Amino acid sequence: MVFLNPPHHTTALAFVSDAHAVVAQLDSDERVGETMKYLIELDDLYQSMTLNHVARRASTGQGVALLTLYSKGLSAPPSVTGWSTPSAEKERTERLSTLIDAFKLKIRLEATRGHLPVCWGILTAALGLSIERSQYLHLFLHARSLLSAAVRLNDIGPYASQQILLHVARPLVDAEVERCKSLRTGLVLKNEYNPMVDVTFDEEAMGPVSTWPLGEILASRHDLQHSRIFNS
Amino acid sequence: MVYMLTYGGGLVGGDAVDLSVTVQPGVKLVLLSQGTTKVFKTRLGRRLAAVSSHPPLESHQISVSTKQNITFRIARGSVLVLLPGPVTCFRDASYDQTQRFYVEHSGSVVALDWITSGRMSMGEEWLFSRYYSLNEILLDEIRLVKDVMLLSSGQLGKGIPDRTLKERLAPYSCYATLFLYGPHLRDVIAAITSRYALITVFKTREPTELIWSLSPIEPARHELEGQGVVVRVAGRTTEMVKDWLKEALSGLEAVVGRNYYKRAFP
Repeated sequence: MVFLNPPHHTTALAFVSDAHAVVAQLDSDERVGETMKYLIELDDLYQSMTLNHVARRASTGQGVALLTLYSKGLSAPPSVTGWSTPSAEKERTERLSTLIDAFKLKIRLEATRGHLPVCWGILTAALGLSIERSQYLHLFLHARSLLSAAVRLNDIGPYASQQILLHVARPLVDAEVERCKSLRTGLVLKNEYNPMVDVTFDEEAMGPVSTWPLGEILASRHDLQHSRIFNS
Repeated sequence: MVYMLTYGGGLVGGDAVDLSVTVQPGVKLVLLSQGTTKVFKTRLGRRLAAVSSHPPLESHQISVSTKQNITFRIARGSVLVLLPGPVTCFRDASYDQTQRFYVEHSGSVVALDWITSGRMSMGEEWLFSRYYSLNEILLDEIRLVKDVMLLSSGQLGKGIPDRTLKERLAPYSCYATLFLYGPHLRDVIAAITSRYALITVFKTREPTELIWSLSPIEPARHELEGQGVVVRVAGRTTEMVKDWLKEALSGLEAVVGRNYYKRAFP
């Protein structure tokens, strides 16, 4: 409960929102390159803002896994005989596959890191989820992971975990989405679609922040534990 | 060596300090403050006249935050050692601090940013309303680190029990963030890193008196790794954190000279 309320980290959602927005906006093949460039900028900023090395490691591992999930499991299969997809939709999914494969390649070449919030934004936009659903789901899954960790630690049982998820985590996720939905990174894609660039960005009010210094210290000390039960 | 002074020994609501510091090539600058930086309670934006006669019909009370904005330029081969006293925010104080460090190639920076829970002697513990601190280090315009911390009181939403700052930050009453970056600090960084490697965390019944963590600075570009660390410390008392820092950074004596270093943690 201590970890759930209040959520100690509001950094991630700004990155989810920005990555989602730029991928959702991608509407022509010519713009794949500029979208990529922007995603890498976002990813770089997340890297320099995540100072806890344990969190960085976990984030990149999970981020790449999400992209692989998309290209292997959620992208359109090359051909399914007898089925036809509207051509606009086909073009869209092909474009997204191109983008995601290119981003994965950049990660493999170590030109970018592939952090979880950025990859989450890319994945959910590629799947056609709205930005609100993407934000909500991101926080919900975060709450669920915390509870699942508590179950593994034997602090609570699986039934109690479900109860907490339904009755405690839900209002918290609702409130947190409400509070963080308009947070942005301040990086904006500068092109003709966004003529109003960072003129109105108020870093102190809208920028990502961390809110729990004790949590930062505890999480960073993960590698020093005598016995560890978590992989990352 | 330079001491930063504040007028009247503290900052009040509405104060806005804008400072720019340049360290010329090859220079070593030790920048300190006189004691803690006190941030007084936020003054309400009400005109004096309203206080004297009758209370205003409607209270247009806009709280005014205290702001401190410092830009540092650290030229080639120079060193900035920024070791001010901690910030102490009084009850209801609101404080925003932004520090940007523009480091040129082969420059080094030590930057300490720390906060206490308030005026313990007055029974004030984590009772300020807002503390915002942004530290950003850039090397030749490439961002290495951007750390933004926000501590603020207030309920998250209707029907959700409030967890006060004090509950979230207990049992510690002093938090410090320390950035060490650059070639002059190689030995200091090596010493503190090997010290960290010696720690083994076991399950404990009571939280320890002092707890700290260390993470290497890993900028987006891989070739810039291995040049710095971020250290975070929390202690039950400010004194404990101070003593720990003094000891952990003692290698700075060799960088800036013993007589200068000892004034940083009097």
